[in-house]
Amino acid sequence: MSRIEIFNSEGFRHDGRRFDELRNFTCTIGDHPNLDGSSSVKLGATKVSCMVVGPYNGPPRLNFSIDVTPFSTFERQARKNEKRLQELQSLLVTSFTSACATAELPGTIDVRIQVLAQDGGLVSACTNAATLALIDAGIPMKDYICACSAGIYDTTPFLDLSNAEETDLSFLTIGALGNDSDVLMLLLENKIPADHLPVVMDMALSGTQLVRQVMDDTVRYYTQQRLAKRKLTGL
Amino acid sequence: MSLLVTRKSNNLNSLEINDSDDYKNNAVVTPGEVVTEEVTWMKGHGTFTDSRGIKASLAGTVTRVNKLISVRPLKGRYQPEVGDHVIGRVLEVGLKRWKIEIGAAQAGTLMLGSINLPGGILRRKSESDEIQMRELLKEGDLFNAEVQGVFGHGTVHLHTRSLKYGKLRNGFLVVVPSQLIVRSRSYSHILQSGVNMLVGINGMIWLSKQTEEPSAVDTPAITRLEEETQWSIYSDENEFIPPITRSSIARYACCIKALAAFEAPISDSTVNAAYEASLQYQSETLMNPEIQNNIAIMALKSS
Repeated sequence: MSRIEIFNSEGFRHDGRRFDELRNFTCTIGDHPNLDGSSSVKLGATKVSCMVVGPYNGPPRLNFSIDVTPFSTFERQARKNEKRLQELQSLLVTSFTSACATAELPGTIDVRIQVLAQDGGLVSACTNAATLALIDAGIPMKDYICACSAGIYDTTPFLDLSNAEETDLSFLTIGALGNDSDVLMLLLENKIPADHLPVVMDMALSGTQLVRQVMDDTVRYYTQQRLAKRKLTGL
Repeated sequence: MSLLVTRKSNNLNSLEINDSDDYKNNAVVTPGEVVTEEVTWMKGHGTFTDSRGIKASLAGTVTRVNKLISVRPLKGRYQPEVGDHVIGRVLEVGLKRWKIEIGAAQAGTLMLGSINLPGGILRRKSESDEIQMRELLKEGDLFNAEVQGVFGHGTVHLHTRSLKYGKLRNGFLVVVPSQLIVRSRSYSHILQSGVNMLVGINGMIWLSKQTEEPSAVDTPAITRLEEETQWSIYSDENEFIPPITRSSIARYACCIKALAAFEAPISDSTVNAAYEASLQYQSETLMNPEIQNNIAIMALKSS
């Protein structure tokens, strides 16, 4: 156990949130005008940027690569655990392959994710960033894949864990397809008691809906801005 | 929370639409959003059906043609259409064909039979031509062509069977998003200070020194084809380009980039207007984002 107080008697977590509150979640799309698609996602202090190139000439396939910058953690790390990243990459490939109808894509798509700062929720931030960048690139998708993590402290489920909470609690990450709460992705790396699992999953699913709302508003905002500009310039 | 406003049929712009037709024309939709619940519509590009009706799979605007409903994305790769004038770069030399990068989802194909060979159009393509394909066009070469056909799964065939098309030299390539290119009748424009601009619908723009005799765009091609189709049209040698022409090519390139950064439409008139607007700035400062913005705004105001 670390020295921080995970959950105090007034019902606040160490960063002042209630058990069911998301951290500040903001995203932008189209930051790189020369790429087919790009996005950046901030989830609390976690910051991820995503770039999409394609579809270009090649077999219909999605390639994911995740690059964790050495300065992304509190202590500078030269090399991140390669195995864990590879696992995450293949998880993203499987999830996005089913959401994008990859077999019908006209070509290969490269998705490059750069992790600029880590403070918990890495998997969910990467998933959300990839969703936004693929939408920006105009790749057909059935719906948004929105991901959110949830953990359990004693009997209280926590939404969207920070790094400090992730080290102390057991948690899972869920990636849901849109509003229907179809679970596309479920990642549980430690143990959660079976009787508590549904509570934690419900908590994470409710988080994905909050995330979807923010992402949808962002996509709508940028699309409308672009449309307004096109009308203004007479394109 | 939805920002959508469904257009009612009393709107003058949509008189042809019946009351019962529940769809959102020109509205912004995002992936997973139900475009219409009516079963009478046919799903087009950017849509798919599920139990709740036709849903959008892209972020973009809804368009309708008769009973076909589709979603047009505001961004995306170039989608070739027959007759488009494009600029491409040779990726590889294959058996009787070249593979061409044209900025689309799939590489284009240029068949050996679809080009003008030195010696005229009536000459048969022999084995020796196959052997010396690399002398005509090799990897990395740029040329302009026309889209001859678009086949299933996005395969594109190109042709250069006119003196208007061929290898490009004496110039500079600028690549912009293809959505910004304004389709117009002519794609070759003579700009100021001896600069020629070739606009590819695929977003590639070739700025070059204007050649001595204007290219054979206006003359009937067939009669002059035999005389003109010489090895020289496949030459790699750049002519001498005076420094003043070089600097105006560079300035035009900066102007096009400024328009693209602003997402402004790109046509000969906007490029000329941007050039006029850029003249008050030093050429070194033209890539400055603020100045780019100023140039684009001034160009749009004046054109």
